[in-house]
Amino acid sequence: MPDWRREVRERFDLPDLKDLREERIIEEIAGQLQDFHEEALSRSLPEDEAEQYAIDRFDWTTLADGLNHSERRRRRPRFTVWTERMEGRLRLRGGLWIGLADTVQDMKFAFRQIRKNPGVTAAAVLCLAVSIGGGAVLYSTAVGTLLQPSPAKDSDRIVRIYTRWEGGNEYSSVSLPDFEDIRREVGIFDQLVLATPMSMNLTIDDQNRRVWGSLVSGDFFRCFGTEMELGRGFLPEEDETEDTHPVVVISYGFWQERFGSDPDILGQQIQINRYPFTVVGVAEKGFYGDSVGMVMRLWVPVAMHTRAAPLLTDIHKRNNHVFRSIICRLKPGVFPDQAAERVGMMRESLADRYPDLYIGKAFTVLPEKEASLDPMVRAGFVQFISFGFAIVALVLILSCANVAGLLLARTEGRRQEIGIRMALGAGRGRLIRSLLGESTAMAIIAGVLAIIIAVALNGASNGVTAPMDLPIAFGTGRTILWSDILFIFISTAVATVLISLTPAIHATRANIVSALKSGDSMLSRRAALSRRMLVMVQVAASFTLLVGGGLVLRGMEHMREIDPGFDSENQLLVSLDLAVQGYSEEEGNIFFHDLKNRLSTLPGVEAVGMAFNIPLSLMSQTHICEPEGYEAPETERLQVMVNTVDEGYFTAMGIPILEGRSFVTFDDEGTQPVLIVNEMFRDRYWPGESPIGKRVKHGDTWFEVVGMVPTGKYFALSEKPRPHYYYAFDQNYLGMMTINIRADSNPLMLVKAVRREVTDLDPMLPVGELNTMAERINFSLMPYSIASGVMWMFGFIAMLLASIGLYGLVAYFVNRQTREIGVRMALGALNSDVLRFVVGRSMRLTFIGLCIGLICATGVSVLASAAFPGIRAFEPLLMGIPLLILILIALLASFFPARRAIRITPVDALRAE
Amino acid sequence: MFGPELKKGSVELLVLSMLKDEARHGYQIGKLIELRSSGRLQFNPATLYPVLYRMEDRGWIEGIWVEKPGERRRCFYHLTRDGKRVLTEQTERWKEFSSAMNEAIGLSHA
Repeated sequence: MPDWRREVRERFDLPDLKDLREERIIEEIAGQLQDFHEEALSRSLPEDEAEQYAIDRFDWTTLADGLNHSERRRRRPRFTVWTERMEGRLRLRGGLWIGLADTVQDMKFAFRQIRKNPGVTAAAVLCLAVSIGGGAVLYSTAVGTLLQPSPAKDSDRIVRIYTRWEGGNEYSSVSLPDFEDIRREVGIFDQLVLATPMSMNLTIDDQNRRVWGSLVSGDFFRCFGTEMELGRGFLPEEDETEDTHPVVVISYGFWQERFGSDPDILGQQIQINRYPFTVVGVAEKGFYGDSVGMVMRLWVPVAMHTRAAPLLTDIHKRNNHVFRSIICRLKPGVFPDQAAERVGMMRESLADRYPDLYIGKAFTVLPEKEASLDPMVRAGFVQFISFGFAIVALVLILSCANVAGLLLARTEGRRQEIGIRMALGAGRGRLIRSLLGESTAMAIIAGVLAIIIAVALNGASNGVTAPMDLPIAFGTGRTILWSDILFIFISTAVATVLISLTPAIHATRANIVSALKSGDSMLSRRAALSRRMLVMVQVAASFTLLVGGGLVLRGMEHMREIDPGFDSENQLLVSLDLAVQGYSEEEGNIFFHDLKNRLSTLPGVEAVGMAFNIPLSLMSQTHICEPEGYEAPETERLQVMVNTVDEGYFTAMGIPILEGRSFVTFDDEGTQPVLIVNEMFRDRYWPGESPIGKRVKHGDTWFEVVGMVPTGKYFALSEKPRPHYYYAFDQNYLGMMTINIRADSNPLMLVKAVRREVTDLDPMLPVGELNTMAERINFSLMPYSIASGVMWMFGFIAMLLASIGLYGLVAYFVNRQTREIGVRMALGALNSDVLRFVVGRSMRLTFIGLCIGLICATGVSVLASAAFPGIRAFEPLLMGIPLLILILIALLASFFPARRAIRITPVDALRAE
Repeated sequence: MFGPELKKGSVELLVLSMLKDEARHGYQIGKLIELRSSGRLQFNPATLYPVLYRMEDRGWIEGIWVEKPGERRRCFYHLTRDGKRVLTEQTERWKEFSSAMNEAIGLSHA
């Protein structure tokens, strides 16, 4: 008997088969051969004929083809097989299930299409995902801050009052006497409270810690409608007489964290600034304070300010504006407008009583929805967010244009198929669905990616903390919420609609007859028009992004180039608050002098100084002063930014003395009070004269100017030059100072030694985070680096996609117009004519795109110049370079198809027909 | 005898119906089709086996190796639940199609 297995093996080749599978097939076929052989033998055929009979039963080529084909199908991914079975089952059920089966089929087709062009699809999907993900993070930040509801209940009835300075800050702090007068004389409020954030030193179990709390007036919790988890809010008498009722209300979170939710917390004493305060209440869960984004741990009545806020002195002076705002609950039936009117009348009456003090001073009354996020913060935030949204929207449009371009090209490829299907009676809805499949698939992938990106970005942004001790809590700890996911999916859905719009429109408008013809058709003409428009959009968007990225980078460079007026290199900063530790002035003086002596002998330390305000720390102090001999116009308010520094400050900060001298150790309380002014102060009040020996009055004291330093930056790098002067620390003791240490190399090497020195002198004194001046400057520049990075990344991707789009389009033109080009060449057109014809088309598109881009870029520039100081709205070079780059890329993208066009022969042209 | 085009669309239905009552191996299936159609339908085994494998992949049929005493090992195919459902559905559709064809060409009352 023949060896049938060997026969089978010899007769066909099954390259796609795995060994086991091959064995099974061979065994089965060999068995069948044997059956045929036995059948032949049973019909009494001789052995050799029976063998031949069996072999002839099989068409071996067909068998090999069939098996290889079914094996290829077999080795499809399990998911594909599963969907196929699923689809089959759905179809068997009939009715509406068939629709679902169609959808499964469309999606499968879509994913197959995506797999065919993975590179281009990946770029487009990534672009889409990043823009949606970025949008989600921006949205979540916006919801978390701008749209976060006020912490007050029934907040429609709340308004806040700020001091408005003519030609200056509209939302400035308020003074206690103004508050008292308004409370007494404007009778339209149910409650009227003061609140101001304050850093306090808390001692629990001999452990010191700085926490942020609020100094508030007695009605605070009633005004906000805050319930108490335990105990009570403040009683009226607790805020009437100073220093008599040391009571504190703590936040729910703080009660949990620091006191382990101790139910017996009421009546316990905690040390605030080394003074015992009695806990009378725990605020309800979720109440974080009066301002969105600022998390307060405890509240103390204003009457206890000498203990809780020893830095606040003379709070009863009318010109001492130390409270952040007055928060008012309107009586029922009173509208915010009426409140503004009444407060305005009050201002007039106050100006009559104290004419000197109300020059250029008025009140701003804001409804709660505009004030629950501090209005100073809100303004900057709104600009930053709207700039961010502009970029995201641009990238989203760009991504959609890309994807739509891709889909349009695919629809074009399926033109005949669509025509045939329509001719065979395929419903328009079914066709559209099948066309939507691919965009839906892309949108789904992009949506999933977007969630991953959003979670990652959110994590990264939560990790960012300011290198300063501020109670800011924007985004910190915020996780991606359902609302964010919903937002992502809504954006994905919108993106899908945007993406699918053009191809779907084309498909539904298709004319069957023309679609079936392979030549020029309505569909392809419309499609070509859309593709042209999409390429223009891509060019415009990439240009805008490149210009925007350049602008922001220029802004950052500009900021880096700004001379802050001091040496920011190798500076280590240590903030110490002796006041809250209960140090007397004498003790504090001794402590600071001892510490400076110890620090200056540390190896690696070049100089040591100290100041009340370190520049660029987002903190400032202003005083009203009278420069001698200067006659101020009636409307001018002589409010000047001031600082208190010691004799080592200017050396340590590398600030040169231009005239006169620096402070010296004998500038103390027993000698003539002195000041050092900056150049701008001299230029403003004594132009062309030497300031040395001149006098400045603050309060009742006349100070003599002993030196002049160059004008620097005090509050922000972007600020305009402003008058500024310094008090001598020994003549103006303050318990809270920042020591600045200039090191000879990396200042972070000194951190341990500095901490040790402070702890040696006072083990109880809390030392917060030590950071460097460079860190603070980098922090202030962070929005720039993020924005420029993001814009350039997108700009680059956009440029890439635009060039791919342009190339595809030009290649498509050349393909479509093979005949026309061939005829032209046969009629004697030169290569250069054809080149001009082909390249000219793409360049026209590029130019139109660039023109649109110029308009958009100007818009982005205006936004950027508002959000980032230091950026000019029009920078010719920054517009010029991307312009040239894009023109070059457009030329390059059309070069290859154009070269093919030149090589078209009349024969090719005829064949194309 | 019919041309391959006419048979092409009906192979699956044919194979499924051969397995309706009992499990059979490839040789039996081919023979049974020939027998039931009085020799008018003949399948080259080269066409049959790829079809069997494809239907097995789709989960309509399942092949099990059986060794009966005194015989060699053979792969017997039987219908799965899905296969039974497909058979019913395809039979229905075939009935509709053939009656529609008959009516259309004027054989319905013949």
